[in-house]
Amino acid sequence: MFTALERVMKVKRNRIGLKRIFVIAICISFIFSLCSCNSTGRYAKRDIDEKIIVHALGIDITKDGKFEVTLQMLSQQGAGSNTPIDPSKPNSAAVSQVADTIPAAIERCETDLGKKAFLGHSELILLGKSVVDLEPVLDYVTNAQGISLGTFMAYTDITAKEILNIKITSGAYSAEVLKEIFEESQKNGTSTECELIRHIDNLENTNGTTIMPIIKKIKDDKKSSEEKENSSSEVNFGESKSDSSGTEAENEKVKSESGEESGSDSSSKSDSSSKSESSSKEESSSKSQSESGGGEESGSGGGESGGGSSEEAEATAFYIDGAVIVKNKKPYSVMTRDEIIGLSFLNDGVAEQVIDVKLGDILTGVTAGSVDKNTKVSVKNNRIVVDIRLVISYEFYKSYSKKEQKTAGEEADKRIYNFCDKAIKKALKEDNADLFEIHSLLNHNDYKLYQAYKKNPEEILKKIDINVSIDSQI
Amino acid sequence: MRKISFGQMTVILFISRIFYSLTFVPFMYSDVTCQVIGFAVSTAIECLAVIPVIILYKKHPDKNLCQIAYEKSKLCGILISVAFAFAAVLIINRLLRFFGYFMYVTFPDFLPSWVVISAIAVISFYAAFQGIEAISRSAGLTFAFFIVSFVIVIAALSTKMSYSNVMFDYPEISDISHEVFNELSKFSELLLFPILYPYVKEKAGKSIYGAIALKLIFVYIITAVCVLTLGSYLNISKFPFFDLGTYAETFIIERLDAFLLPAWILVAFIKAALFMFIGKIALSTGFKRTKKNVYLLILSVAAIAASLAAVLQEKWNFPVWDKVVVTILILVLGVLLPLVYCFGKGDESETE
Repeated sequence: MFTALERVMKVKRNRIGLKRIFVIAICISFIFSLCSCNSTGRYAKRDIDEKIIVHALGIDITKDGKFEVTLQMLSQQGAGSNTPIDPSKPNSAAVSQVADTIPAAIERCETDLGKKAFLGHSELILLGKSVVDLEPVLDYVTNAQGISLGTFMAYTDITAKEILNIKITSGAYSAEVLKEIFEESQKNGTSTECELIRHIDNLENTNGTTIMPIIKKIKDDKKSSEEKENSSSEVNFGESKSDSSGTEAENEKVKSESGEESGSDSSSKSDSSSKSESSSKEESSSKSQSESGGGEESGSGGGESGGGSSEEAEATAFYIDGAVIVKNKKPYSVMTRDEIIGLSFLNDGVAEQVIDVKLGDILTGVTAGSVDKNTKVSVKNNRIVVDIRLVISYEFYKSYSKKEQKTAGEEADKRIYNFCDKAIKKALKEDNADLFEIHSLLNHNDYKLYQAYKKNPEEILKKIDINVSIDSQI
Repeated sequence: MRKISFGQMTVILFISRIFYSLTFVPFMYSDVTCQVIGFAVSTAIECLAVIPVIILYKKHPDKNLCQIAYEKSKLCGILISVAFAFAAVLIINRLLRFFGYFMYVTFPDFLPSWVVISAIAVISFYAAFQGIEAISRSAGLTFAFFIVSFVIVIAALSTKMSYSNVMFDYPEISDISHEVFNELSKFSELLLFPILYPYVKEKAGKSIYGAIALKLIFVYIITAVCVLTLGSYLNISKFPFFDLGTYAETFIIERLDAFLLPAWILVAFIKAALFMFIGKIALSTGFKRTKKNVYLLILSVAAIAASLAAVLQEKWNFPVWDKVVVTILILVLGVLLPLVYCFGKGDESETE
């Protein structure tokens, strides 16, 4: 009796199990048939080698006002990956195209390579000095699918195309190197925060004001002298109103390399760095290279083989020098390195910045690092006073007596005061730009002033005085 | 009848509610201050709104609202059953369209939206076919996965949060009321609970309060993380919570949106399955002659057809009437009718 009941239950369970498997099989086959019926057109299946993984996006404006977009991508035969195929070859390749809009230029790049660009792993969006209006750029990057909010966005003193065409044959690919440079510079305060989201946040809150670091390439003396000879004019980012005196002026002025901006609509798929140092004379030769270079792409993710020219080793390093102040979404003026350090101390804090101080006759380095920051906002005599108290720790790389440490700390304080003063003078007094998160301070401390700021930020910024005090910890 | 535990009920109600908190566009209409106040006010209203259903549960612990109505009046029972089924179709339609829009915006070249929502609908249909036990087990797994991905993303973002990103505004009464209305229109769990409480072994009343409390905690955490991390980018972001995933990075992984997407799909699947299930139960109470799963099929086909028609035409804007009708249905079926029926005499097996 018991075994018969068990048998019946077993059969019933088996039936339920079979029924379940049958329904699951129907569901799975339905889902697979759904997926397979969309294998053409926009949703066509693409293998990984049919995509170009873009690491950096460069944007320049040509003389006739068109967008020249450069995509830097990984060249799979080169070094830099875990299994380098040929370490002698550069690990990145770049392709450029010109069109009326940024998406159209990217589409042309894709057409040239026969592959779809994937922007989800972009590390950097680099703007050439010719980009005088950020509106179309921001419009694209905020709506483009896949671009991470953590992507770095910066200016360069030459063309973005030139920077992205520089190739390195060891270590990571160049966009990664650029990102690391930005990160290190942010730590020591020589660069401001340059993530895309920070720019968008600043622009939204401050009526179109933000600050973007400038990346430059290290050039050899020979080339630099040639450039000096070739350069016919000097162009600033936007309309710089700063005084052009001393070293600051040198930083603020950006030497234009005549004819570097590609004025033609033609495709210019670059080959190694031969185009990175292009001049107007070289343009035609690189065009012919691009035409013949098409055959070199075999299975390389769109990358071209390294040129191996003498120019390749010429510019393989980058550095950050100053930053562009953007107002009303347009480049307005340039801040120097010292001013940026001051700004970094006042805003984000500096992880470690080595400050040179004099101890008697000896010049020594003190490592300064931000520990804390307190801010107070008050209104005195119709002026808005922002008191910023910075707590900064100092470390010495060799042992000094207490007295010497105190003297060195005082000297370092003076230097930091100097940096901060320069930053305040430049950003607030000269350029009337909200680079000190004034909007946020007013919003958190005095709502009426914040409302006034929202109505007329320029007027409120003119009334602001920033007092800095440093509390040093040795 | 197979019953589920108090914890499982809490989880399925929470999972159902959190879908909108993941896909909502938080600051499209009002600022963070209004939003925070709006959440608190709407939660208080929600806590009050569930009282009639809880009284109903205590009087009739083994009968859902449709059964109670059917016993009082056959016509009323049928009408209420149809209304529940209609509400379920509207909410599934809304859910699938919203998910289709999300896929269309975030993965435009990956798969067509209609394929994704069809797949979700088929799986949801299967879960609803299997019953509440299968749904609640899946909800448990979904909850665990959601919590893990949520914690990973927030931990990865902890260094990127800044108080200076928070911008306050003086709250306007009109903005707060708008926010409260918005939140209440999303509280479709008030429709789930009157049908699902007979399936809970014990403490069904506490499970809905547990779900509301969990929702409030998570909504505040999501809002805080969004504001502290994204700042004013929220004003232009279409899916802020998903953007957090794209921005978060760890040592090894550069983007964590891949962590959030599966959790999101699972949440959508659970919600769709739940509403298919309550539609099936409601219709089978009102029309007893036909098999339950036939109703499930009819209901699912209606909901999927409606959403596919919109998704194929890429009509992403929800008509105002949709929101108004859903809100009215939530208030009538989830609050007013339980209030009417809770005054009658209770069953003998009345709970404590």
